[in-house]
Amino acid sequence: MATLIQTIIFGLLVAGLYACIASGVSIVVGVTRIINFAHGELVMLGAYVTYYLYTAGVNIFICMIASFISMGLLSLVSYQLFMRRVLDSAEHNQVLSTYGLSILLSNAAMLLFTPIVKAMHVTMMPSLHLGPIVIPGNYIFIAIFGFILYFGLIFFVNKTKLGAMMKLTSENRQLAKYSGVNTDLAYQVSFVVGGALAGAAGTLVAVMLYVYPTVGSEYITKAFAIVVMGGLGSIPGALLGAAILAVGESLVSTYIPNGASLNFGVSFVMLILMLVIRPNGFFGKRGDRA
Amino acid sequence: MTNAKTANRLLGKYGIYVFIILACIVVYFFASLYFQQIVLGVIIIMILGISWDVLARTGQASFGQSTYFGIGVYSVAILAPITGVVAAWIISIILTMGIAALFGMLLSKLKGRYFAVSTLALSMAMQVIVLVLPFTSGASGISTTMLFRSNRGAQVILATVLLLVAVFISEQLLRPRPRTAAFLIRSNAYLAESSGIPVFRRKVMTFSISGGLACLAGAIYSSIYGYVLPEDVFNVKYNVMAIAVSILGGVDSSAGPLLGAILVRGIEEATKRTIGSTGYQLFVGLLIIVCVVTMPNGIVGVIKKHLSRHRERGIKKSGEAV
Repeated sequence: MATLIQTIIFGLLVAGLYACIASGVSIVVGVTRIINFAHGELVMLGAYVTYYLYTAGVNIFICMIASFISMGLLSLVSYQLFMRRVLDSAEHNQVLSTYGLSILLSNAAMLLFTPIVKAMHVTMMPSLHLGPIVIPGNYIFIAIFGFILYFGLIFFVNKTKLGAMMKLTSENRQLAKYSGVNTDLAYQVSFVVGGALAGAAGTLVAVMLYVYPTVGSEYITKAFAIVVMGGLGSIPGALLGAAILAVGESLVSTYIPNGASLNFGVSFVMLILMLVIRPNGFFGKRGDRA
Repeated sequence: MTNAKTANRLLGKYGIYVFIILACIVVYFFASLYFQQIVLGVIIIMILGISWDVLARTGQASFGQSTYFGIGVYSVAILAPITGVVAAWIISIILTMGIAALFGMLLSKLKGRYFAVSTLALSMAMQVIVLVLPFTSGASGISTTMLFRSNRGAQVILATVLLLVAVFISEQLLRPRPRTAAFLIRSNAYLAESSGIPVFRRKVMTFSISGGLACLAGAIYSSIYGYVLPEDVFNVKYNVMAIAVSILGGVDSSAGPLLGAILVRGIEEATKRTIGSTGYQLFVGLLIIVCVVTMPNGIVGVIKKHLSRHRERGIKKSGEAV
């Protein structure tokens, strides 16, 4: 029983990180209709920024802020240079160009930082002991900050003027244009916000695990599974999807022998089940995809 | 004048086959072993690209061609020692077409982004399924039967013949009737349905053909390398390659994937030699972005535009003369 509870708590804590990454993907898809494959590389670069600053003796919170800002800016640059030019292209061209960007960034990281796996070896908080249940402090740390970032995004979208602009653009691009919303600004803001979230998530990845050039692709595929489960562009859906996926993974790696290597499979088996049972996702608009 | 016209028409129709055969002869007689190996890789990517393009014509832009590619590799590897190579190939292709049809039914209702992400998910799931199944020997990989005692020249000829078959199938689907049907399905499925095109059946059928072609690429792969690991073949790299070569070369044509494959693999090899094996794909990423931004219709699109401008100028000139 204790193992079961511990497994579920573990899953829910990791869900904070997943929600943070997936909601960034979701906000970009929702507003610009572009599936950004390079989002994972922003997470990876954010992790590197954190790693190098932290090993140079900078406080972890300042590291996080640095990743947050630098990846937000990088995301804006990538939008201005490439993405805005494919906004009106065929969907497969958009997907391919973001994939090109992802290949570009991950290989640039390999050249700059070498493919060697780096670890920060840091303990953010003491472990929590609840009777037989032990929760490592780093997991609590990433959960707290993952959820702070996630709810920060919700606050931004619902309570600020820029957020309202993004929301309107996401719901109906044409209508937003007619009612005087600067949709180009909304696109830019969504890329900045998505990138900044990815950068901060990179800090969490660096704290929890290792840093290496392809770490991003691991998270991006999971983020897609989450986003499709929740409905493309839905932020509450991202949280629900993240929780389901993280708990599912955690259960599989505990209870199925050699289950940790099946991690990927869990997300995709769930995704396929979801597609068959409820093709619009939990919060997807009807008729969105079919 | 009419002779020139007929020649032009024939060139348009059979030029691609002639070109492939000539290239094959050159490679067979004059290329080094190393270069022949590269050519085999290029042909595999070409067939994979064609399989993507065939499917994308019906509006189903897949992000998971490695699924059928990988199934092809694995089923040929597993069946060849039991049934012999020829039977293994035939069974594998039929099997893959069946699986692709099944997935096609499952995904036929999805559009655009959802379709892309779901096909990607299927390809990743397949990698895990291969790890779990009892007869695939899991993560340790599987040894395959090499054809022609790994004589590269003979393998190049076989691969070329199969490439010709793939191009032929693709050309059949580009004839006026199927092409119009595909275009209608892609642009407006309701209209297509009401004009009497069996949309669902067409989509599933195309999915199945596309799966069969990808399996063909996998079967070649399986018979030229002696050993395969699951992550080698069920790899996002093949998903991306299939799309990249088709879009960079030009969609909705048979020549597109061929040109795209030469371009992408050429850049890949050239950069690998200059920077080494770490990070050389940086330039592939750059190439993809630059090409998508500057020529959204690919190489074939650029050529067509050039030709039509040329023709227009010709018409204008003759008009002035009159």
